[in-house]
Amino acid sequence: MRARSYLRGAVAALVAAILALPAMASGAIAAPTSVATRSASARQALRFWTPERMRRARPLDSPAPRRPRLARSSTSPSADGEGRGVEADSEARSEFAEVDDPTAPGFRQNGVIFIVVPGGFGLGRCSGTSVNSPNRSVVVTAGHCVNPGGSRHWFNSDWVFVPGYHDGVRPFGVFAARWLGATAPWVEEGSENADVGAAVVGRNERGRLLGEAVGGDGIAFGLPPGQVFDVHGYPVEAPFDGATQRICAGSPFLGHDLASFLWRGPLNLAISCDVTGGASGGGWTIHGNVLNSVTNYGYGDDRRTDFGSYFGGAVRALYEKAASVR
Amino acid sequence: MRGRRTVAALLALAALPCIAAPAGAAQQVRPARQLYAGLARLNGQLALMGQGSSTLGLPPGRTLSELRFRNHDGYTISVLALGQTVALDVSRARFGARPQGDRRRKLRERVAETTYLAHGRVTRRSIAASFGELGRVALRFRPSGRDVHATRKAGCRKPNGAVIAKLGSFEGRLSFRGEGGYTSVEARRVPGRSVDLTALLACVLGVSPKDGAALPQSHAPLGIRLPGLVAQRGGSGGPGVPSTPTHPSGGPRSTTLVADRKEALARLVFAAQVQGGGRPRFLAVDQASVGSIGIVRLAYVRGAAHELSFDDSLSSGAVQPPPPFRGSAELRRGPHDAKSWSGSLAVSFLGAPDVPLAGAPFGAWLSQGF
Repeated sequence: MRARSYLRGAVAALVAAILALPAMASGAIAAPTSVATRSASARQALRFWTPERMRRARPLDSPAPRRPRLARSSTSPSADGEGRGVEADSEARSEFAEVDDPTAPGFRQNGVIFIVVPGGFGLGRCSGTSVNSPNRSVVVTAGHCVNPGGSRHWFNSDWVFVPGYHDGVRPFGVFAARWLGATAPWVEEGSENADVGAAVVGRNERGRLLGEAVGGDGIAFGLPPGQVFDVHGYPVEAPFDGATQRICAGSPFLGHDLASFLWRGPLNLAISCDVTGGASGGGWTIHGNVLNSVTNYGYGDDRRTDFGSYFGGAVRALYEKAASVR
Repeated sequence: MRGRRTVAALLALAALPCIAAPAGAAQQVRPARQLYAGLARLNGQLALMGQGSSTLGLPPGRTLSELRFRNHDGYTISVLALGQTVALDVSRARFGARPQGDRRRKLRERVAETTYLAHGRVTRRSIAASFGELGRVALRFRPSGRDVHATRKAGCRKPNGAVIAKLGSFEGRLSFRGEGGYTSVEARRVPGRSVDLTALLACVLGVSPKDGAALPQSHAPLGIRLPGLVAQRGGSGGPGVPSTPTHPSGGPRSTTLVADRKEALARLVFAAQVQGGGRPRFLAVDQASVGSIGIVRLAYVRGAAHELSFDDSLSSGAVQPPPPFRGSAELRRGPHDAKSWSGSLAVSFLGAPDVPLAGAPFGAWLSQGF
């Protein structure tokens, strides 16, 4: 893979422009649904989520194993703010390559979500992204990482976000959720077109807000689907092990899943990336660090295609609700 | 990652005609059980072709709008709207003799059908959707005042008299031109109906969707079971492992040959099936997402006994089906369970002629059930 830099000013202007864009979806957008969690504090969560429990956590709804096609890649953003865009090429597209340093700026806002699955179903995990917001505490992930879909049950017990996680290390601490939410189509019907969730997390055990500790990505809504995405995540299943962060750099939009036509909400997005279980909820970024989708699902007999939700009005409503939580 | 919702969705097409009223009889009242059976077949079609844990769900409005008519060129045109999904279906079927002892139905000899899926704006009274360069639908429902009620005569388990379906017509504009101009439609007023799914499920099942009732499912589109493709939910990946149980019944054995080609946004399946020494049936389905529309094409034909052959050990099989198929293909099992599926077999779908159905990109398998 070949790194390509962007001018700082140009990136900043573009991000600002994207953030200013209005949602594209028309008509009334159903309000997202949400719930307060039972996690009392980061210290309690830290006591519960021992390294051993983190290792035992399994992906929610594990997908098929993927072929080992690993390569190191991804240029970390430089200190002067240059982007980390990686040129799209056929060789790079589907490789879920290991990130050199998950704690580096530009990568540290991505992390692992650990979940106690209700009903005695054990310990689960997903991926998520810290996103800029006034409360500096918003994590965006897949809807099925906070709610099973078509259900009023929430994964609201000991739900934590560990940004920059690698090899059992929690370099920026643990952030326990105090609020979970998901788009209305996901909660009401389990629509895969709207499989997006969010959390508002409390301070870590050192008393710092998430945004203070690791910063956050921008987030954009209502853009044309034909973007080129960097796909982040922590895949657990073979050939990966969930130990560190990975990225599929420069994956262009391929089209919409056929099933997407049967579900409520904007048609979803397909890109080429060899993700496996555990990568669910991982951020799809554009133009460097602007979140514009998350990993939702894949098919067992097509191991190279990753599907994510379009960020339209329903996701915007979810984000705005999360960002307004105090 | 959330696993694999199938999509094979497309088979939606094949399902549409079952829900719609027979051509020329759209204003006739049909019993609730017929409506329900149509839904079962629709969802079965959607679940076909694999991985599917999710097919059509009940939309918030729980209203299904449908219209159907015979076009001037002989094709049957139907439009179905459910939730945000609008499906425009073009089909033509040829029927054979009635089966012995069954005076009520005829067997399909040959079916050609293509369904186009789009997201549109759907309300209880209107359907609006664009199918890109192929056409668009902008219709408003005008009830005629004739309704289908939840009665015992209609087949309701709990006949409470509720309105299950309103009959009437859709007015506005339906314009469509199939790829290559295989059909062309311009309609301003067509018969149709608006079905209350909540009332229908309550009538037939005696329960409310709030109590967990869902749209019914069947996994045998056009009567063909496709082992290894339907309801494949696990993480093992790839077809080849039958996922639907079979039970010894004492009847003739069913032998099925399936070839499958999967790409990121498309899937092509060929199946040949025979019961005992009867006439084999051949099915091809091509489903793809193309820009902002989804397309499912289906071709089905009943052949002659010699057009599907296989040995007793199921180590090899060969097909040479009649039109719309052409050519032949052969499945051979080699050492270590390696298989080859080769030949000149191709099919012509409505809007997509001469689509190859054999060669290296396909996985293929031959199986036998009871």
